[in-house]
Amino acid sequence: MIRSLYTAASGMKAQQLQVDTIANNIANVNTAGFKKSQLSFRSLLYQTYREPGLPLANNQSDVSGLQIGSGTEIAGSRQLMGQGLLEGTGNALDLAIEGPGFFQVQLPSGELRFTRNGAFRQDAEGRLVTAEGYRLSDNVAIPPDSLGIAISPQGEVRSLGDDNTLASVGAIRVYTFANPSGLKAMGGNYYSPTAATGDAEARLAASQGAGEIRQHSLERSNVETVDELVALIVAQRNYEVNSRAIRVSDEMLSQVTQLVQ
Amino acid sequence: MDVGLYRMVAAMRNNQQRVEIVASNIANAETIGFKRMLHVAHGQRSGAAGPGHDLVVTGSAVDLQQGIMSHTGEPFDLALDGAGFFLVDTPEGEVMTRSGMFQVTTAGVLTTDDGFPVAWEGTRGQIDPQGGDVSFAGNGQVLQNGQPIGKLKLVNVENAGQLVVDSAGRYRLGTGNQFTDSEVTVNQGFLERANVQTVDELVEMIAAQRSFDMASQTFRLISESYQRLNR
Repeated sequence: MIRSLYTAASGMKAQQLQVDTIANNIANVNTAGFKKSQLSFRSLLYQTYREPGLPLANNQSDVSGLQIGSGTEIAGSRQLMGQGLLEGTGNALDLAIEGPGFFQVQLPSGELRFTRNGAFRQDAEGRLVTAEGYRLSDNVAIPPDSLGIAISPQGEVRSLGDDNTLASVGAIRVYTFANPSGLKAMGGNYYSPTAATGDAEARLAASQGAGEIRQHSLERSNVETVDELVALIVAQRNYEVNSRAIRVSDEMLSQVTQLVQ
Repeated sequence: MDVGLYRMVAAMRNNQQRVEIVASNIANAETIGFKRMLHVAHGQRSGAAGPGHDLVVTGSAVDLQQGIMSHTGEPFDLALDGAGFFLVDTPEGEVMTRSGMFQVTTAGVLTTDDGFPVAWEGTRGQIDPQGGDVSFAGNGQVLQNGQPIGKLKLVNVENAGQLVVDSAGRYRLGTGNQFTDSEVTVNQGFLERANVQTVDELVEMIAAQRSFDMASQTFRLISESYQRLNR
């Protein structure tokens, strides 16, 4: 059977996944702290009929050789950790990280997750929790009689008391990874470390390469709608061209079958 | 007597391979660092005197034209501008690639996206994964926090037409080919897209299809003339 049928099919399948990825990026354009993901393609096995430079039967050397590729596949996906825009919200417990790093939260099961979404609120005990109720793992407890919260770029949390003085009530750390692109997306805008990322390193914010904490702001997603739309158009056209290659291959095959009368 | 029939079959096979090569180019239109394959056909005299070219030999060659740079802003995305390659250490030896989508392992080794270490000049440079900004200069020099930690090995080949593509789309030197110095420039934060122009590929595909048509029509013509002879 003519190989280009399968070659083009591999291209169509890959483009389909590309569209899926782009659609997910676009859907999350308004998700705070969302990092867009990107697929990487790689070419599939090349079949070598003749190596270039080998001598041919009639004492000539073959300058070109013949190698035909068999299509493409998805090599993997990665999160692009580029900074999203910071948007002021005015809410004292909305935190954004400017620069590398993540907040660490603890699930009820005790598992740790990492996120760039710093839309926190207080629970009954004054602890900072995410919208899902997962606690920030850094020990920050806001006293019930607090009149206001000030969080420094270094993550120092201070509370304004009755007596008009600021008292430190804990510190928020920023966690960095050797290879943050290797983080596994767990849904809900949380990431979990993998063997590729290395262990999380707790850093004082704004030191040792970790980002600064910005109070009263949220980090928007780093998805640029225009870029995604362009990528979507490209993916659609590539899909079309691949399907065209299938049609051409099919027509050629049908001609061969018609030759036999 | 029936040489024509066999020639037409050869022409059809030739054009089928042409479509297969085009299909592979199209499928890889989004593969980073991919270089399209060209289809080359050249006639060869089979020895005895005969009309025109007795044999059509099809071959493929790598078209090393520059691909478009796309900006990603990722620190370990590197794009090459000009003629040259990165070298990668694989179990099969050093192979060349144009795909600069690299990452740093927790042990501080710069690797390709499928985990093979990138080759350096001299000893392999060690990147501290938590140690701050890494920058790549145009000549492949690597700096971390402004301190030089080594230089990536960049090579060119003497005869670019004789590259052998391996299964992962990387290149090996073919028989009698060798490395030369490279003047290629490294661009950090960019990736080189495939140099596939879908328009060109579509035109090539249509041309191949029409040539295939003609060969199969001629095949039929010859075969019908034999039928009339036999009647």
